[in-house]
Amino acid sequence: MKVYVHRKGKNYGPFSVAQIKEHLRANNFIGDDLACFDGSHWIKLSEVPGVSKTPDPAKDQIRLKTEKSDKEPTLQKAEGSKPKTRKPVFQNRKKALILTGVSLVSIGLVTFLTFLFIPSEQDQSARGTHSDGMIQNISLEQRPASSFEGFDPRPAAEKIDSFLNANLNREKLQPNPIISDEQFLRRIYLSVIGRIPTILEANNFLNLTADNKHSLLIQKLLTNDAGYTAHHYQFWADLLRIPTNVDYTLYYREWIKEQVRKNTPYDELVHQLVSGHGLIFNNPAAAYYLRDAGMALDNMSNSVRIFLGTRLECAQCHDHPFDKWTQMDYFKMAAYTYDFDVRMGVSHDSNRQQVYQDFGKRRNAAFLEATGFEDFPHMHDESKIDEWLSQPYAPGYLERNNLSKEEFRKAAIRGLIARKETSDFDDPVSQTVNMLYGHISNVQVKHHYDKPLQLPHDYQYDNGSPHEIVKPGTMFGPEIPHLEDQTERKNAYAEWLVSPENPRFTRVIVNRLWKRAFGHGIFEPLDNLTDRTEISQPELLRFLENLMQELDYNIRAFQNVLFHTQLFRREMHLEDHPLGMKFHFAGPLLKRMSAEQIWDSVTTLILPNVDTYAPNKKRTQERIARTKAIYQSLEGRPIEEVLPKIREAGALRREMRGEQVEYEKKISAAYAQSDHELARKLTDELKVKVREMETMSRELVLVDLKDNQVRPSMMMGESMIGSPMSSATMEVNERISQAKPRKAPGNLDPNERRIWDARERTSLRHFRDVVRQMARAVELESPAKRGHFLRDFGQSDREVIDNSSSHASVPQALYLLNSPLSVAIQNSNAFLGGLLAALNKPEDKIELIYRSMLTRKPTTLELERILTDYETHGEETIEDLVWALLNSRQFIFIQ
Amino acid sequence: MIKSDFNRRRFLELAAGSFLGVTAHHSFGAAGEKSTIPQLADPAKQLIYLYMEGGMSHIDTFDLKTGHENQGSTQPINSNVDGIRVSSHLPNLARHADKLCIVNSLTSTAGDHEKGNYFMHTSYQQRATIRHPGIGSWYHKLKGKINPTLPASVFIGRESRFHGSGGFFEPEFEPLAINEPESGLKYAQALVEKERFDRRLNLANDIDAEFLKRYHSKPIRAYGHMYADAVRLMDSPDLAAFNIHKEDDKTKERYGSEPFAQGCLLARRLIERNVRSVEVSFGGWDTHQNNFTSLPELCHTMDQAVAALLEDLERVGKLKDTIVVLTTEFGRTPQINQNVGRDHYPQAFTSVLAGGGFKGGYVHGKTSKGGEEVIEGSMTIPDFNASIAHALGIPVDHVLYSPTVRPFTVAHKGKPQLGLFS
Repeated sequence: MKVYVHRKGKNYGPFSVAQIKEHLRANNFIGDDLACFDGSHWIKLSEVPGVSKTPDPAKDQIRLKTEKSDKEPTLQKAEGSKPKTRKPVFQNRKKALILTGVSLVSIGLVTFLTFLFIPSEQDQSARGTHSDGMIQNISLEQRPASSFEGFDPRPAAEKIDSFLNANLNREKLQPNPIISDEQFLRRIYLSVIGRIPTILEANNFLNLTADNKHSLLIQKLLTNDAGYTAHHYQFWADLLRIPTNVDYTLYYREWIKEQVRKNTPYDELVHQLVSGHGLIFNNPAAAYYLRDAGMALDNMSNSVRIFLGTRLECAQCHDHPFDKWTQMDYFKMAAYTYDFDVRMGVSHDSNRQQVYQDFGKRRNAAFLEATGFEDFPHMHDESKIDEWLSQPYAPGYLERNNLSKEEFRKAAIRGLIARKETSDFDDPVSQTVNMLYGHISNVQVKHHYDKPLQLPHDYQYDNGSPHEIVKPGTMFGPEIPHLEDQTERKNAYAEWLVSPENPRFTRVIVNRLWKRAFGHGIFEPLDNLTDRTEISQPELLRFLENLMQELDYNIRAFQNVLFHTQLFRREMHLEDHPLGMKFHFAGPLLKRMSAEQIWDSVTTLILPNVDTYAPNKKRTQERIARTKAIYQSLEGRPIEEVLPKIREAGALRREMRGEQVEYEKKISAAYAQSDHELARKLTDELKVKVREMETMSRELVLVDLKDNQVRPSMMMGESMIGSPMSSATMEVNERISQAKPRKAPGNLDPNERRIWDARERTSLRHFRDVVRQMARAVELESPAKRGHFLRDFGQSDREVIDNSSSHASVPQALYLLNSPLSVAIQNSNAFLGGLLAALNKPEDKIELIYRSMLTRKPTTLELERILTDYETHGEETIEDLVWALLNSRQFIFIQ
Repeated sequence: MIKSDFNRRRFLELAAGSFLGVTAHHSFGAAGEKSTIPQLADPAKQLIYLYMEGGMSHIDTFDLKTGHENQGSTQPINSNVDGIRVSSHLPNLARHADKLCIVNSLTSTAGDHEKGNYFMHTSYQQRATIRHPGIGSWYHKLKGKINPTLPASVFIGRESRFHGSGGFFEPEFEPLAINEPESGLKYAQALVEKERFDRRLNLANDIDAEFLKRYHSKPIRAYGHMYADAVRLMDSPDLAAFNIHKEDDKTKERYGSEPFAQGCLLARRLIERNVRSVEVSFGGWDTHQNNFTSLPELCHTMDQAVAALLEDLERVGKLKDTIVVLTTEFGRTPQINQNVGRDHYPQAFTSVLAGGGFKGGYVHGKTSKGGEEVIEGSMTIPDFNASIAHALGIPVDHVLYSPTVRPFTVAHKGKPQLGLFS
């Protein structure tokens, strides 16, 4: 059954019932939207057969949880996430059942549910009373994709604390005191969803009295899929170096986001990445190899560094000087994946290759025809003529065809001329092919069949000789049996990499997540493990590794445990930590927010619904569809259909060239006469003509695009349908577009009114400037452009692994001191500004600002200090305060 | 700073441990070698690096092949130095040929933009495992700042990422990037008047005092210093260096109105205020099509701006201490293609040096009759960069280690070409 949907004046679809349900769940449609499935009547969407039965998502969630609580809680994985094709090379994982004997009774389930849903009702009522819709919507629309709620994290968390405390005891150190609820609140929001809480979210938590409210909040945040993904995606983008605005990464990064949202188990995700293969449209994970196109050796160094925390780069050129790895170890590892090949759309069975073959055929045919002999020997240049004539078989051929040497020579030259003519004739076509394929040049990973890895020409050790073919072999852990098939070999390597028997795989990820939670690794640096690496708390590390395996690499569940520790709730380490010294975790290590955390927090102060606000999503999806349509037009159709069109487009370029030569002459003449104006005018004309020709060529060949948009037929059946914008996004967009200055109060005299109006206008201008490109960092181009807030504050440039930084720099200070950010925050159209505008008393405003920006009330001292300014300078002081807090260390450092 | 301290420490640990125990490899030999090339007695102090992005045609600019069919419609003109002829599209630079050290014999194998650009900027092959620093950052790292208020190195250009940045050095060695020379340094002016700005600062200080008393670890102190630096910069007369609108109209006209021209003007102002190194990037040289109609415009912009820059540097007495480099990733095919364009050509191409200790009115090296290959004085990119480093007083055999303790030098294995020096 095909269903069309009518919503807010627009038609969408057709959709299947299953798709409709999906959209309803995502709140893209509501039950009251109109639907048509019989081609003649519009009815309510909820009345469409099959749709009405869709359970209320909220109820659905309750049901899910209740069911879980009935059963013995299990650590289930996200549905269908284990690829079926994955054949374990190694025997069953031996799980250390570290949690046996620990009671797994779910934590106060009832309270948990109440907690989850009451805020939702408050929101609803708040929305009713605040028609301005500025209330932050607690994101319950999202179904939690991760299923770990049945698992009680507390016993494991307690175990971790007992390890830590035992160590502190040994060191005669005291654990730091427990932080306040406010500090916990801010810390956990930043840690889990990467931004500060809104004042409403803060109140929801602080007003609760339940003993386990901290635990409930942790789990609530971990199930906020949008917020969690926005934050955790950055972790991956930095590790995997995923830049935007490269065609292949469009797929890749959306796919990674989806894995984060789905909470794909870590081992599976890594397995998919390093076994990534084929066309990225079918397997976006293949982009893992595209990222290092042409640098297969480096790719192995990167994989080993990212997933095994081991540095091999040095061994690429010689035995590692500071570690045990030999150059041979390195090459043996590299041999598993070295033969991956990024085919720029020219694999032998591709249309592109066939176009080139066609050129060859045409040249050969022209050659033969011009010679006048069907069996004339093929040759490509004149020098080959005499060479051929000197061969022993030449006289026989000449005799058979009754040719003199001279006649043969003439025929050959005729042929060569014809060949050159055909080649020149086809050259524009070839260039058009290059232009058309430009956008999809990096779309698939294949294997070379003829390029085994050889030792380098200057190999200097006894265990091999230069150019010797390298047999793959693992650097540690279990050995992989020899496999002939390249794909099987790559998969076996992937299997080895993520195997629990691989001694570094689990160790590295638990340490990375530990550092992410507590600011310092159990061992440092994270990715330079050697046999000499000193691990100060080996029992703890072992416990964490076992825990991760026990949890089947469920990353959110693992973090759930870390956030439940006492350590997470302890005061930060106050002193400098001399690097390289043991860190004993009396408390976490103080750190500055990441660039993304600061940006996202500022965004939270300005825009409502920041987690679900996705202004660029539609454009991204269109770009993805467009790339695919280009590929479809060029490679997805039979060559018989594509080739004539390409030739037609080539003809356009050929015509253009004639004109171009004429232009060139005229332009050169103009320059020769120093008539620069004419020369420039003609140059511009020529540029326009070339551009028009190229546009026309695209229209001719790229039949699955129309007016540079994807034809509707292409959009259907896509996993990423160009879905209508989410209501949250539309609401915010509307808010931004309708932003207006506040009217002056009636009691002002004309002069005061003028000042008021001028200030409002400036403020609105700044607000508009700031919000034009504002959304959570995950929605924006990354790396952001030079000079963007994110780059100034140390966002990774996605060039090398783990490249983000939190160092101070002058541009950062200038940005906070002098940019319009602080004005935008308090503009009445902004989230915080809107709340501020509704208050009158300075004390209330000050409290609101403190609670919004620092998640705490001002101290009496602070309040007094601010009010002193207020007495003299009035409302200016409120502006000054927002500015001052934005420029405070308290704002950017996580206490 | 965390990284650097750690790395240094780590390196020392390793050095004390296994490093000394391991038989030194040839590739580490450089670390212990004494410099065999004596340093210049009076090296230059500053650098202006002008980068023609896309691949500047050698045969249509400084290495003309008049009379050869490869030349196309480009015409030669005489310069102010006997025997040096340049393209008729470079009339202004022709008047400054006595200041130019033209290297017509560069050769490389990096034929795509990305790799070529990277190689030119760093002397190393681009790798997926590391970023090599550019010469500006090396300069900063080894020689420090001259003017403590201003950044040591500045990049002017629109690229959202550029090569030859801070690489694996600590973040403070990253060049400050300016996208629009017209707008100068972003957010350098306060939004409110001075009195209120100070009041705000006081308020901020007072309400942060409690926090700062509790937390005083290094990263937090660093932010304190950074704010002090920023406010000092805002108050400093040096800030005007970023503002090209302080120049009179006549000067601006002399440079030209294109962003590259304004970038050159900004570069001059920064050099006058003792910034160590400034790179100005100029895109659009990738003339696969319509070479002969695009080049006149590109050359016009470049010629006018660079000539004005040289003139001004000489006038203010900075040319003696400032190296000006005009370079690109590769040249362009001497043979004209079917689109009346030229394609990428790393085998033989041209770059120009001026100022400092370099010879003026001098042409180094020679290409064949058609400009296809180097037949005299062949120079690799590392050698070219080593010459620049040498001119700046950067020892080319000074080894610095990456965070993973891999050894690197400013121009890889390049050797200064002493023949370029007067």
